[in-house]
This record gives sequence, structure tokens and C-alpha cells, in this order.
Amino acid sequence: MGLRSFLRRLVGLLGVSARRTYVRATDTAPGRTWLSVGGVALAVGLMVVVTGIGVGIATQSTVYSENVDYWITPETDGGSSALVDADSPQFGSVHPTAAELTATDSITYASPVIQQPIRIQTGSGEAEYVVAVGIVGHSEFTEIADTTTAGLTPGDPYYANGTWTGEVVLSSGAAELLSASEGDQLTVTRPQAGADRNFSVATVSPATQSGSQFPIAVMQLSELQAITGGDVNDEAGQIVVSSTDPNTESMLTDIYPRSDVSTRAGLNAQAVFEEELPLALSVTAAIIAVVIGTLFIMTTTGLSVASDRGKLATLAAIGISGRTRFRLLASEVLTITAIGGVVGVILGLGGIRVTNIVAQRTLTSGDVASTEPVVIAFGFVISGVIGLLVLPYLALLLRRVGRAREVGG
Amino acid sequence: MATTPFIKCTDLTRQYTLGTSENSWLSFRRSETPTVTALNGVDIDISRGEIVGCAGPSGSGKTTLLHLLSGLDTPTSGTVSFDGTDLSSLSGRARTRHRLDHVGIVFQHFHLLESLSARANVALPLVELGRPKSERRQRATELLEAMGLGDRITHRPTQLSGGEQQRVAIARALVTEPDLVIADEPTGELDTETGERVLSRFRQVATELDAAVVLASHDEPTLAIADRLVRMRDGRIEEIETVSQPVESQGAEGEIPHSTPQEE
Repeated sequence: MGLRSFLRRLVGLLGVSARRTYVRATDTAPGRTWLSVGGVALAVGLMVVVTGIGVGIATQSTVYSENVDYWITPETDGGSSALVDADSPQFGSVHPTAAELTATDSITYASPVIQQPIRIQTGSGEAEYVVAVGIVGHSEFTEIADTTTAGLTPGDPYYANGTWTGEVVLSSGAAELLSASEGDQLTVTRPQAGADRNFSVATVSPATQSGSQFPIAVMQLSELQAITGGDVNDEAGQIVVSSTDPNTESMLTDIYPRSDVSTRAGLNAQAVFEEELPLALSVTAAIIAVVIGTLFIMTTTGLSVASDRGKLATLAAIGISGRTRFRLLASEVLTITAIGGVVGVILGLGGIRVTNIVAQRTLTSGDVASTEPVVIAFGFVISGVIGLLVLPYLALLLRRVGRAREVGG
Repeated sequence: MATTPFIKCTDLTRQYTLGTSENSWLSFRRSETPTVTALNGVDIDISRGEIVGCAGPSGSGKTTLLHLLSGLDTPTSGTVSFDGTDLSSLSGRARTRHRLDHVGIVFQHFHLLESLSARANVALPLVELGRPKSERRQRATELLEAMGLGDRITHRPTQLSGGEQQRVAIARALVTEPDLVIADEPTGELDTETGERVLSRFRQVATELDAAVVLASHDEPTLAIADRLVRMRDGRIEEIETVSQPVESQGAEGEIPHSTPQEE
């Protein structure tokens, strides 16, 4: 048989297959046909949603129920630590910058941060060194350096010639070191700019955090700047930004030249998500979709072949070869699964949309699931795999059903 | 009429086992399983250009004989020699190809594919033969027009009457210009006038294509077209009659459309 003859047979066969599929879907067996399409569509659709969530996590388009803290730090040669980089390069004009960031919709709050060792004297005359941390208070900014910020008036009132608050929050380690408790008066005895400054212990942070044993004193940023001399250029060593928007990180890199942006909060958990969970989700979803879709199509194909028994016998009787009969039914199965794949991908994209809407209303401001092209391609591939997996079963059925001798009179 | 032996059936016997289905997935046979003999030691020769009619009551073996002649089934014993080839020696795949190339079958219940139009049903064997689409359409259209169905070519079987479906089935059997035409009750659904037109087509097939035609029917006027009449009973040939044909029934109006092989 020549190639042209083979192609004519194939094209003619596909035409017959398409015609049969169309008539079955619209006239002779619409219920079974659309049930088959629906089965594949459901399996593929669910897989697309789950894979979309997995890809969303993998591509960092997902944020979690807790805000992520981004830390902007001046670019340095070595690693940085919030507790040891007291003499590192400083940012300037940090108050307006932080205010501008906080005013951005996608950012919950932004606060410059200074860490500086200072010597504090208690009312009894004892003096000890602690690490002072200066921040701009915010209602959502509840903790820094494992120390609560409760007790600090939000907004840094002393900035720009405001009122001196003298508020200081001590970690349990600092309170123990200074033998101080809430309401006690403290004095910073080594001011680098101006006279001594008086403070009052607003709160002692509970000793429940892992770092609470360290001597930390959290205070208003501008008041710490006044002590350290950083108020001249409105300096801070870092800026912490809290946001639920996945695009925040790229935006922050443009705030200051020669700065690094990193995530600190939940960093380890996120790393696990990025590498393993999406893959596990996608593989599991794909396996389940293939199994469900294949079983569904196998069942409906079995029903179709049984009901077509007489027609298949007729085809055999008039000389249509077993191979052609198989190709005819196989192309019908593949057509059904392909349609199911298309419908499934559409359903899946709709499901991703709904998932993102629900997530944005309940959990986060960003998208939970992604509609990357790879997700769509994955849906089509899975529907194809389902169709291909059914073919051996179809071949087995045709060995038993629709033989020429079964044709009646 | 040609007299060259074309099909030779020798001691043809077909037995069926009762109580088991050969299609069941877990079938088994026992030595005491009862059998029924549908055809018992039949000998008959059929020549090209000859019309052979099979008559007999239900269960006499007519349909079984047609199935064995067409290669739809194989005998339990005996042989069917088709132009020198023993059909029993052919594999199932080879017998399927043999039917496509040499046999046209008109089933009693038509067995048209309901999802395809009349023309697509007729052209279906030509798809398997790899004929060009234009040739398939032309050939099928010509045959349907010859059967008086020129205005029904795009209709599906469910939109046709029983008689029209039967004529579509006959057109499908003739589309490959077979060497042997098998027809089981070919005029069962037709009125007298249409039945006569169809029978005259069979005569044309026999004379113009030099094909053998084997008809099975309960209807004596239908069997009157035959050159020989085989009367069967209980799986055996009871009698073979030679029928003298009136001159006017030897031909029919028009000619059977012939396929024109197109260059590959």
C-alpha cells in the first residue's frame, strides 16, 4: 500500500470518526458522550487548579496568611545581623521614606530600624549596656528582635520637633539586667548628642520568645537618633517592610541604591515551599487526574463498545480491518479526551480565578494560584495521557467484541 | 450465463455449541456440551455470472450457508473454495480483506451506520480501499441514484424508510464491484415495484460484472430471478432446481455505474 493510499484511508477514517462523534454528541448518545467529556474535564480541571496553586507557590506569586517582613539593608561585603551591625553604612532621610512606603496600598507598614549599644542607668544608680533598637511604631508592628513593641506610641511622635515620649520597652533579659520593671525611670548616661535623656519603662516583654534573654531596649526611632546623633541626617541602618504583596520585593530594591532586600520572617518555611511542595502537589494531582480520568473513560468506552457491538460487527463484515476499526474508535476516544482536556483547562482556569478571589478576600492580597502557560499545557498533556492509557483497553475490547460472525441476518 | 466453476463448497458442515458463548471472557467447553448442526454436508458449485437462490424454512441453514460463502464464518468441517482459495485456510484478517476485495453483503436488517449519511455508508468500503474522496463521493452518488435515491444521499438511515435503507445497503454491497454478492432477504422491506427494480440490479451485477449472486429468501417471486434454486431443509440441500429465465428479465433499465480507477 502506497503512502498516498494510506493517507487517504487515514483522512477518510478521521472524517468518519469526526462525523460519528458529532452525531453521538448531538443526537444518538449525547448523555454518554458528554459524560465522558465531563469526566475528563473534571479530572483535568481539578488538576489544573492544584497545579496552578503549586506553580503559584513555586514562582513566589503566593504569600502566606502571615505578612512577610522584608529587610532593606545597605550593601555590605559580609553577612549582616540585626544585632551586630551597629557600625554598618546607614540610610538617610528614613522617616519620609518609611512614611511613603507605609502609604503604599500593598504595604502594611514600613519602619526604619537602628540598633545601637547604649549605657542605661537605673534609679538605683546602676548602669548597664543594652542594645537599643529604635523603630517607628505601628499598630501592626508588634515585635522586633524577639521583643514586643507594645507600649510604644505609634508614629514616632518626637520626629520633626514633636513631643518626647521617653517610652522604652525592655526585653526580659534587659529588665533582669537592669532590675527594672514597668514604670521605672531610666537614664541614658552616655548621650552622644546633647544632655542625658530620661526614659520610662513602658512594658517589659514577656520571656516567651527565644531571644528574650538578650538585653534589648526598644524605643522610638527619633529619640534613639537624638541620643546617637543620627537625627542630623535622619539615619537608620535598616528598614523593615511588612507586606502581603509578592511584588513588593522587586519594588523595594529600587528604594535605595546599593541596598539588599531579603525576607527574614518565615524564610525557612518558604524555602521548603518553593522547592518541594509544589512538585509534590503537581505530581499528586496529575496522578489522581490520570487515574480518575482513565477509569472514567474506560467505563464509558466499555459502554460505548458494548452498545456499538452490532455496528462494529457490520464494519468487520463489510471488510473494514481490525486495525481500521481500532483507529476509528481510538480517534473517537482521543477526540473525546481532547475536548475534555479543553473544557477541563477552561474549568481549571475558572477554578484558579475563583481560588484567587476567595483567597484575596480571606487570606491575602496576592494571587494564590498561577495561570502560567505550563499549567495549561500540563492540562492538555494529561488529557492526552488519559486518552492514550485507554487505548490498550480499547484494543482488548475489540478483540472480544464486534467480530464479523456476530453480525445478524 | 457463464458456467466456469467459481465457488466450490465441499461437504460443508457447521455446528454450533449450545450453552456457551464464544465471546464470553471465561468460556469453557465440556465434552458433553450439546451442539446443533446448522449445515450438514452441503456440496454446491457456483459459477461467475450466476444467480443462485436459497429457499427453505427458518432454521434450514440458508443464512449459515451465506455466512460461510462470504467468509463471515468458517465451517466446522468441509471447505469453501473461492476462486481456488480455501477460505478456511485464511486468517481472520485475511478473510476480512477477502470480503472487502471480493464480496458484497446485503444483510437482512441492513446494518447501516446511523451516524453516517446514505452516501457515507455506501462509500465506507472505499475508505478502507484508500480511494480518493472525489472518487468515493462520485461512485456512491452514482449508485444511490441508480437505486432511485438521488434525493436521499445526505440523509441518515434514521431519516429513510425501510425500503430506502435496504437500497442503501445494496448500494454499499455493490460499491466495490464484488465478485460475489450475498443477499439475505434483499426485498423483504420493499414494495413490489421497488423489489423488481432491485432484483433487476442483481441481474445486471451478474451479467455486466460477471459476478456470482447468492440470494436467500422466503419470497418465491424474489427467488424467481435465480438461475438455480437451492431448496434447503434441516441444514441439508433438499433439491437444486434450474430456473429458465424469461428473456425480458435478463436486463434492466440503465447500466450499473462502473468505477473508474483513478491514477494513484
